[in-house]
Amino acid sequence: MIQVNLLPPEYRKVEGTPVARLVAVLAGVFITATAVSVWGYVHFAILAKEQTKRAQMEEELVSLQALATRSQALLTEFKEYQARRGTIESIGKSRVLWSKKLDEFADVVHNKGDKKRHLVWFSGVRTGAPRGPGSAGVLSVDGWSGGDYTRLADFSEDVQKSEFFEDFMSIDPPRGELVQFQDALDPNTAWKFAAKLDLKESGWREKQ
Amino acid sequence: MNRFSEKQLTLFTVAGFLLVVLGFGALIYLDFEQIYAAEISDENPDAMEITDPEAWGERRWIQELQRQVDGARMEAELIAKREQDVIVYREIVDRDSKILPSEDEVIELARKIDDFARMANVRLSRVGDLNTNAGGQAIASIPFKLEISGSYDETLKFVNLFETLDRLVNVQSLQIGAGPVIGTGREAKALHQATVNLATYMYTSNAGLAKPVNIQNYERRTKDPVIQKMIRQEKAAYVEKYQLRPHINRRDPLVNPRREPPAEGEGIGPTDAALQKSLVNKLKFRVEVLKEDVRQEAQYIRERKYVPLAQIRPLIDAKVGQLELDIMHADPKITIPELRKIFHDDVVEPFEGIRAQRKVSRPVQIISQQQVREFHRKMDDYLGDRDYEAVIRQHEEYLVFVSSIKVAEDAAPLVGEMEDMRKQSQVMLDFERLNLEYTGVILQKQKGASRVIVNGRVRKEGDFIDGVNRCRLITITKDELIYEFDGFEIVDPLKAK
Repeated sequence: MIQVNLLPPEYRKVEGTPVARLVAVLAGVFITATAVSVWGYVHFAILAKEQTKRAQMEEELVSLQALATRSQALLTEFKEYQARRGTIESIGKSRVLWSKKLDEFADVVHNKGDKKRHLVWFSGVRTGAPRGPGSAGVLSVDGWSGGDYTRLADFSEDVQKSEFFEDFMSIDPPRGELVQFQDALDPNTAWKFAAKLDLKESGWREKQ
Repeated sequence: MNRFSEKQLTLFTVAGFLLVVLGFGALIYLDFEQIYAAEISDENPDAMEITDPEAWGERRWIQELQRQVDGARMEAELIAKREQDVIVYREIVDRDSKILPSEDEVIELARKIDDFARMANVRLSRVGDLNTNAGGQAIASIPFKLEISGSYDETLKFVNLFETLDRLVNVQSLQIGAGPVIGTGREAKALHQATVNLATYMYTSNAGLAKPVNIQNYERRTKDPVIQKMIRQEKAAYVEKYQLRPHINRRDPLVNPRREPPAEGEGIGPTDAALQKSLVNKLKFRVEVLKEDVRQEAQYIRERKYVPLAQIRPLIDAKVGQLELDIMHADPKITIPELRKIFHDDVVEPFEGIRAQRKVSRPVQIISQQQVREFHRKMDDYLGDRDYEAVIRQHEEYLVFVSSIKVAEDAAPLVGEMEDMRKQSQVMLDFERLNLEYTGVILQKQKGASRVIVNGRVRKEGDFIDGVNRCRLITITKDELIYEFDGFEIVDPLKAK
C-alpha cells in the first residue's frame, strides 16, 4: 500500500539510526579508542621510558669508561713493574759466587798442607752449562792424583764431605788412568782423571 | 540517487573501523618490537645469539649497556687498589733496581777493569766488547769477556772484586788453564790463563712503559704507613757477596806439587821435630792471646769505653801485622804432617779469620845490621869449612827472611859480601862437579908450553876445561893449577890429586 505523509516535514517523526549500524559504530569507536589509547601508552609511555633509560645508561657508560681505561692503564703498569721485579729476583737467584766455590775447592785440594791423604793438581778448571734438568751448571776439572788409586778416592770423599760440595748435587765417581812420570820427582806415578760436579739449581736453600 | 543499503553502510562502517584498529595495532606491534626485540629472558634465551645491534630493541640495548656499565664500574672500583699497587711496586722496583747499574755505572765499570787487574796482580790481555745499548728494554743484559793471566789465588781475587761490587755483576762462566811457573823459591809465580765471562744488567726506568699513569698526591701517598708496610713486606733484592780471605801459603791447585825426594839418610830428626813443635806451640799461644785481645776490644765497643779501645786497637793491629809475617816465615819450616794440621787448624785458620776483619796494613819492618851480621857470620863459617852447599842454603834462608822487609842501609856492605860468598860457593860447587883428575904434567920453561893431562885429555894454558867454556886453565906449575871460572880464580893443588 502506498503511504503518503501529509504532515509537514518539520513535524514528522525523525527515524533513528538502525541498531546494527549504531552498534557497529559504537563498537568501532570503542575499539578504535582503545587501540589509540594502547598505542599512545606503548609509544609515549613505555617506549619513551625505555629510550630515556637507554640514553641515561649511555651517558653513565661514557663517564665510567674513562675510569675503566685509567684502571686498565694502572693494571698494565702494575704488571710491567711486577715483571721487572720478577726479572731482578731471577737475576739475583741465578747468581753463583764462583770466587767462593773455587776458594773452598782450593781449600779441599790443599787439605791444610797434608799431602799424605791425597795430592791432587789440575791442568784446568772450568764452569759450563748444566748437564741435565734441576741443575744450574757444571764444574769440570782435569788433573792428576799422585800416588795410588786410594788417594784419588780419598780426594773424592773429601770433596763430597766438604762445605764446598753443599751447593752441588753430584760428582762423577773417581776414575782415571795410571801415568808413570819419567823424571826423578816424587811421586813418580799419578792417576790422570777428569771429573764433573753438577751444581744444584739456584735458590735451593730458600726452597728447603 | 542510489543509496547504499543499511547492510552495506554497516559493513563499510565496520570495515572502516577495522582498518583504523588494524593500523593502530600495527603501530603498537612495531613499538613493541622496538622495545622488546632480541631481549634476553628466560622465555627467550636464544636471543643471546643475536649479535647485530641493528636487530636489538631498547630493552636489549639496556641489557647490553647494563653489562658494560657493570664491567666499567667494577674496573673503576679497582682504581684505588690498583693505584696503591702501582705506588708500592714503583717504590719496590726503584729500591731493588739499585742493585743494577745505570748506563753511567756500566761505563764506569769498564774503567774499573784495569784497576781490578792491578789490585789482583793479574795481567789483563783481552777485554771483550762492553756494549751499553739497552735496546729499549727496561732491564738489559750486558755481557763482557775478559782474559787474564796470574796465579790461582790472584785469578780468584780478580773475580771476587767483581762479585763484591755493590752493583750486580755475575760470573756467567770461568775457565782457568794451568800455565808455567816463572821464577823460583819465594819469587815463584804461576801464570795460568783464565777466561772470565761476566754479565751485568743495565736498568733504564722509563723504558718499556708508554706513559706512566699520573697518580695524584703521589709523594704524600708513598709516605702512607699502609703503603710503607706493604713495601717492607716484600723482601728487598740484595747483592750476595763473599769476602775472599787471604790465605797464607796455600798451595796453588794448578801447580805441579811434585818435588825431589829427600836424600838417603835425610829425615826429620828428634831435634828438628822438637823445634817444629816448639814453633807451632809458640804461634798457637800468640794466636790465643790475640783472640783474647780481640774479645776485649769487642767488649770495649759494647760498653762504649772509647779510651781503652783507642789504646788496645793499635796494639792489636801491630800484633796482627807481626804475627802475619811470623806465620809466613814459619810455614815452610813445618814439615811434619801432624804438626802441619795443628798449625793450620789452630794458627792459620783462626788468624786468617781475625785478619780478614781488620784493615791492617803490614808494618814496614827493617832488619838491622846486627841481624844481617848473624847471617854473614854463619855463611863465613861454612865457607871456611868449605861447606859450599851450606853457604848457599844459609843465603837462601836470609833471602826468605828479608823477602817482605827492608834491610837497614848500614847493612848494605854485609849484604854485598854475602852475595859474593854465595857466588863463590856456587862457583866452587860447579867446579867440583867437573871432577878433574890429573894423570900427568909436563913443565916447560917457555911460557905457554907446559901441558897437563886432565881427565885423560892434554890441556895447555889458556884452554877451556869444560864443554861450556866457563872454566879456563890459566897457569900450570909443578904444585898447582890455576883456573879462571866465571871471573873467580881457583887454585887447584896437584898433590891432592
